Amino acid sequence: MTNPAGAPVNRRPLFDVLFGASVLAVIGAVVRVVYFTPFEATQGPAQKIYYLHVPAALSAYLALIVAALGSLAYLWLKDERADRMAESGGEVALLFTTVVLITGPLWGKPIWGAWWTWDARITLTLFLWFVTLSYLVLRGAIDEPGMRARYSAVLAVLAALLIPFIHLSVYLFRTLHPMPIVLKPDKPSLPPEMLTTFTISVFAFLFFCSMLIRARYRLSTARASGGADA
Amino acid sequence: MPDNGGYYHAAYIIASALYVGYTASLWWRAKRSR
Repeated sequence: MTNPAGAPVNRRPLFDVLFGASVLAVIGAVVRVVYFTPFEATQGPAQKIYYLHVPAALSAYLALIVAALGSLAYLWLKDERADRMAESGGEVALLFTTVVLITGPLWGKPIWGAWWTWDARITLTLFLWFVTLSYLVLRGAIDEPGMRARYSAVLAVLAALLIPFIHLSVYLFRTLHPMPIVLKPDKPSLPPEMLTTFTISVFAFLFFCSMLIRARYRLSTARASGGADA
Repeated sequence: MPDNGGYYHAAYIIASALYVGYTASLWWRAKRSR
């Protein structure tokens, strides 16, 4: 099958078995959080937001890294596929950063007593959200594909440079956020049951994030070649 | 143990709505571009 220009139309489905598997992995992780993971004694039920909040943050990092690598590849090779990958990563990064910024205050209110503080990590994450939003707005504002890809690529690389600052902000600045309890140089300090749940959640959400990026990429590719199958 | 289950449920419900909403938007955009 071809489009009017004669190029082959991409008919790869957005949602396939692998996408379904990632959804099942996330559902499985949530079932484990809800039914098979104990409440933390001091923080109570609100601590279970941890299994949603941190995997969302790591997924946002992954999506931004995909956007930055796609952008660098575009700047080097001028290949439209790399630009489409960057666009897909950027959009999915905005989704996960939004989840981080909503679940964070819902955890902070019962534990810290405030919905929001201008803590270094929260402020930098909000800044990242605005930069990612700007990336997508910029893409929508420029019609010429080459210029759009080039300008937005620079912004995506700059956005990804925020990741190490956000991750290391608890070491660099005085902040309400606790020091890492799992992603740190020495042994994780979570009890084994909670650590298992956390690990399952992280891998499930990273898998789901990858599948969303892939589906978004397929949508872009299908649009570029004239049609898409849901 | 503190009674703060409402925050926990709200976080999971809102996050689920965002993930399902985004997935639906992909499906919708693919359908429109056909």
